[in-house]
Amino acid sequence: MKSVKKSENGAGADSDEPGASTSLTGIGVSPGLAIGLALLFRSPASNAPSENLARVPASANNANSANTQIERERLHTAIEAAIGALRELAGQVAHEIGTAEAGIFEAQALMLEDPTITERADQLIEETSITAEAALHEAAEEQAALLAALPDPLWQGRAADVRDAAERVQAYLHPESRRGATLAERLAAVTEPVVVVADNLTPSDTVQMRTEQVAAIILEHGNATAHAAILARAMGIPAVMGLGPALFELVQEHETLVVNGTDGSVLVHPDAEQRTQAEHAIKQQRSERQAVRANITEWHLRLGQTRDRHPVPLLANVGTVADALTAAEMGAEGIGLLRTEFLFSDRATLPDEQEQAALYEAIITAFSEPARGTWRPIIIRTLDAGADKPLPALASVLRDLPPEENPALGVRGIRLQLLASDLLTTQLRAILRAVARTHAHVRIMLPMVSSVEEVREARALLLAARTALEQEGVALNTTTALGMMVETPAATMAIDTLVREVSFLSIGTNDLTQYVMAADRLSPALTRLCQPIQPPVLRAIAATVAGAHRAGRHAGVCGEMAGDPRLAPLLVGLGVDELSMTPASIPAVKQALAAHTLTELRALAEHALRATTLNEVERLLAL
Amino acid sequence: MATIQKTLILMNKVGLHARPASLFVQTAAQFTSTITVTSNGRVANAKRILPVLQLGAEYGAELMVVAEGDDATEAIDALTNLVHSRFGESE
Repeated sequence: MKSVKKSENGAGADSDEPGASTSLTGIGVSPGLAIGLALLFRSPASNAPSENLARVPASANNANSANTQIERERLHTAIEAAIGALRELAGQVAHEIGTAEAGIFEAQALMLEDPTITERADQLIEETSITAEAALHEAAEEQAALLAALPDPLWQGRAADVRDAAERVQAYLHPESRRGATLAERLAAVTEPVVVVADNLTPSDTVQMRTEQVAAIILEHGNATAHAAILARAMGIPAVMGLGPALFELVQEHETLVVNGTDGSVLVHPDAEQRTQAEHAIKQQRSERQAVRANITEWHLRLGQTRDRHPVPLLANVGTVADALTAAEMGAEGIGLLRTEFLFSDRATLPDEQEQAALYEAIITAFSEPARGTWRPIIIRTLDAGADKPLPALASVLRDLPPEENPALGVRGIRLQLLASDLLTTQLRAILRAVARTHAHVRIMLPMVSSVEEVREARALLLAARTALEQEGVALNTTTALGMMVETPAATMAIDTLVREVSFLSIGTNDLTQYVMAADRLSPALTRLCQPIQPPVLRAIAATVAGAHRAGRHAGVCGEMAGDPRLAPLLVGLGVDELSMTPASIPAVKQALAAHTLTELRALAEHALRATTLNEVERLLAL
Repeated sequence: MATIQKTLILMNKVGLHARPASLFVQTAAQFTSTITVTSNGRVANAKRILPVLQLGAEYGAELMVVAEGDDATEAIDALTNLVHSRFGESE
């Protein structure tokens, strides 16, 4: 995957000679070319081995410390300090968040107290004369590997705890390099765009970067699916990842680098000719990008509306920071559906409150900043998972439930959340924290509601979460509106009573179609039945919208139907107030709505509601 | 010096996982006896969290606890209470 080659400038030059350039190859994860001076950064949260952890004998590293006694003492002092810090942190978390969360850090403290790691590290220092850093790394990795090998993902997740704990000790072994300025502080001081050279970057580190500060990102670790990669792509910052430990060996602070995020190459210390070439290519790239941006700005200026200027806000369905950036680019007037399943997938343990809050904040910021405004609404849907969408992190929650024969009708959405209310409370607290930090106009939406009690229970949890946070000193200036998805026939039939419990509604046409028609979305034989323009589904939508309007509430649609330019006009005719869709569909839907007046669309909807068969509706819509 | 042995069944939801494992180890550490715990065919020093976690003892798993020393009886009693109380988990 990675390779290092030296290109020599002049006869017999060796790598130390000025003028020799070196090239490194990793994975190009965000395209584009950039040139800049290196800014070296080691993430404090890094679990990864870096060059100072290599198995370099202590005597070679430090001519004086041929004796292993010094290394052992350094290690023990650092471990003691890390244990103290973990206990302090556990106390703080117990006070601010909860004892269960504090248990994570208590367990990490116990891991460091466990002589299993220290004894092994001491032995390694004694027998192989390696540094304290290397010995600790190896001893911790051995233990982490044993946990990672267990079959249950919950236990595998404890391997990360061992690594976290060991990393904390490493920080005490290297206080100067690891507890310095944050990346944001260092970037704020730069005068021209730099190339960030790091081991790893957290999503929040990445999302704070500004293109005026960062020309490119190159990382020791990571790959195309890393959060940092997704963000870099979305922000248009060229990035190369997976460069390996050679990166920190070859790149010095302030070294000139040419980064090619398209082919994954990094040129260290380019010669004059290579520099000129790169600068020329970058100029060309810049003018191309400006042309693209000018087109997008056009779209920004137009809002969703019919030909006679009846406004229909067009919002975006998003699940990641990258989606949020695309949404802003496509001119979305808000986020109509922020799916939070993304946070819980691809991982063995549940994200804690702080982690969730950081990601909500990242998504809100990613959308609000380029979209220029915190007033644009952002609707966050609480976790919509269950046996039909199994997530490994929920294994411990689902384990106690008997197996379901009909998972689509089982414990999912709000049902799961109320059964495992800690899960919902953590999520609500995380959302409220993100609101407090960003002051964004956030609303909360509950999935799969079928009864008034479900909404009331969730509202009680929201109020409790709010009160608790306020008591903990989190300033929440505005109230956060609570709304619900309309996806079940029960919700459409009892819409008059349900709508009084909430501030807004959003119709999830995908699930609503499957439940109204009692037809599995995934069954190929039932495709015709499972059309959102089946007359019974259209009537359910019309009844929901009418019920919402009678109570003075807005009704949106966030199913795939809303993003289909052939079907969206019909929804507007049915009285739907706003449409939320995949960001890429926004321009086409905007165009489709602008072609009709509201009167025309209402007439179309009246005809559609009188249709008796799917064929008739299809003919009406000229499908 | 007494040697006491007892078999316990894990009835708490998450098994001998992070927090329960911490409590188990902290309880065992209060006694001078040598205490081992066996589960899934693996033996662990009950006073060390890493080997205890590495047992991978889930809900319903059998734990054989052996204590050897002057306070072996008290140690086994304390660990039995802890496991029977489901580690204080509410559900």
